[in-house]
Amino acid sequence: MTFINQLANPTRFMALSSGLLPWIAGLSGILFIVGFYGAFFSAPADYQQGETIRIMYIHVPAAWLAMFFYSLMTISAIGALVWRHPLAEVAQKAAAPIGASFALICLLTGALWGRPMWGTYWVWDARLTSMLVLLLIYLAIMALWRTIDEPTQAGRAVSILTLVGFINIPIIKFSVDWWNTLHQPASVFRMNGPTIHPSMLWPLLVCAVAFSLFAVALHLVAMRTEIMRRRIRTLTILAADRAEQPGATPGMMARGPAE
Amino acid sequence: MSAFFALVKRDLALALRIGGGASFALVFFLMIVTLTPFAIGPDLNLLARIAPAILWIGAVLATLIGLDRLFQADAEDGTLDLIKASPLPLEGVVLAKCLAHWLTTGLPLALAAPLFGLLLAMEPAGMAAASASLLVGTPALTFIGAVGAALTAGIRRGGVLIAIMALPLMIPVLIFGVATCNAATGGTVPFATPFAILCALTLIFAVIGVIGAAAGLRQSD
Amino acid sequence: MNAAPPAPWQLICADLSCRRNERTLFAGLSFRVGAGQALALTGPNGVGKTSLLRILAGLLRPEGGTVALDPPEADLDLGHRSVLVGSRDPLKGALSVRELLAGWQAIVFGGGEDILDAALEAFDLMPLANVPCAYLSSGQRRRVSLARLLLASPLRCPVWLLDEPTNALDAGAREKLAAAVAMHRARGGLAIAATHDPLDWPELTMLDLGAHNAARARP
Repeated sequence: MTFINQLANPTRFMALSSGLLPWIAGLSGILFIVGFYGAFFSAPADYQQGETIRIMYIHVPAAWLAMFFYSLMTISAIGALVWRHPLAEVAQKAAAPIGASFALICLLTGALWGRPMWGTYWVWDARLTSMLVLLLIYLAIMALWRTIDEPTQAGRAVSILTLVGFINIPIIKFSVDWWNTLHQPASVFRMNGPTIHPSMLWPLLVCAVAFSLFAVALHLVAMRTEIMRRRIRTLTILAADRAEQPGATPGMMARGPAE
Repeated sequence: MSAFFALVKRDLALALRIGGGASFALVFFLMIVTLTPFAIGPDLNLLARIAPAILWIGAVLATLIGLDRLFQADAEDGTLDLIKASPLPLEGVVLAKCLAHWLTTGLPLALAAPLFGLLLAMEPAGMAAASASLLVGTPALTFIGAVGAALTAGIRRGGVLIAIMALPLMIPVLIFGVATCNAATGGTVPFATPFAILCALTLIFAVIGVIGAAAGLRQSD
Repeated sequence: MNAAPPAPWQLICADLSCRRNERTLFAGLSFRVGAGQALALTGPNGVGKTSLLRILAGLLRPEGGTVALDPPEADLDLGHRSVLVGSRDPLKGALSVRELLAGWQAIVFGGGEDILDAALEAFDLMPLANVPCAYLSSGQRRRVSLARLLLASPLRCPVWLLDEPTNALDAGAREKLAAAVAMHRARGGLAIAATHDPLDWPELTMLDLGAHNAARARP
């Protein structure tokens, strides 16, 4: 019965999220239209970088979301470890591939942006390198998720790894910066300069909000998928148990999916 | 023949499902490529020069991922005893398992090599050569590793032992793999020379590895 | 399936001896098991019951002596004419029961979907067919492990070798196993089981390896 009790909170989440999802996705779509119009038509090209500056409108939100989702995973990890909240585990698991995807988008757009600036797709710029290390940490976390089948056990293990990673991120950031200045920075170009003209700022902010809402919608879908995956797993185990005692309590099985 | 493909299919399914670790080699490869510049500095000229070496050392080490479980997982739970009763000769079993291992390690490495080459400021010609050399060279690494995996199938802590046994035998592949990359971007030897030798090494190790690993599995009891 | 009476063949072991880790487990062991018969190997732990089964399955080379099927079949060695169910269950947690058995069929035994279904049915595994092996109890795992006996064609693999087959099985599953063995014997197969538990199979011949060793030790 503990399985079914654990599903109680996720059940409320399922109802709530199914109502919220279309609104979030729709709002994100509208903001994308506005933001991309601003980014690709209304905002001026940069006097130094030309049209390539428009990559910024994807690159910067992706960078911000890659970091945001790691923070979200960290908070969820605390929730999973301290309060043993099953929804926190689900939130944490669903966040990892999304955060990793945004880190990858950030790296790829960074490389595309860098090509005309540096003459090469990749230089070991401190910011990009830190993002690459963040991607590696994401991949490690996903690898651990992929290895342990039992969700609660996997959740504990990943939570600990996530927290250790979180504590390490400032240390990594500091080390990478130090390493980069030590080898005289290859980059003469800053990702976001100290000042940015309002005509560029508003599309950037709108794009950032649109990407964030899009990411939240993705996260909700991923969480719902994960909850359903766990329910199927629970039902499969119950079915295996039931096959052992043919006469015993078919009611237990019947209650499972209705919850 | 159908038994052969059934075995490949089963091993691929096991690798791709939860607990399988099909993508681990690729992630490990990326990590080695990322770590090197931290150790030697972000000088793109230097990185471009040693990129073939980094990619190949990364590939050699990444091939070891999963090798320790190649036969051990089946030996532990008794599956190997069952497979030995197959009409497929044990050499065929080894070949099937090597193919499945290569499809989840060597092949992804070869395909990802150009992308990782970008991180090391490789020229396009160098990337193509790296990809081609890994494509024909990594099967040799798997075959050599399979011998080590077969000899340690019944040993609990076989993982490190495989590395110690297999790495010295992988040196020729490393030499001609890197030489192939370097020949493509200049140098005194035409590309075809080391590339042909690399192909020959893979063919030789396919024979030695398969026969050796099958012999190793036969004596394991 | 041919309806002809079981061929009058037998499994002949002559003067078998086995050494493991510098210890002689048994020596001078000779016995015959004919078509339709069943043999129970008993004796204390470490007496070599498992090793004897592995010798009969062609997985282990005996120190001395011979194992042969009479009349011999030229193109198949003993390993291909027997099915060994060892003490370990060769299950893969990520595969469903049906996938696992279908894999064994494709790799080892051959045979079609109907044989697979019959094997699942015989050990009451139909409700578990789509359950991943990771979720099975130890009794269920044992039943999946035993189901391979029925995947093998009785003509090609007449020799069933069972190592502690009743381990982890409840009364119902033991009956299923006994029924499967009885059917196999009726079709002209033979079964050899190493066991600590008494088996309630009819006309069961006993071979006590411990007693055999003790008898040889006496001058």
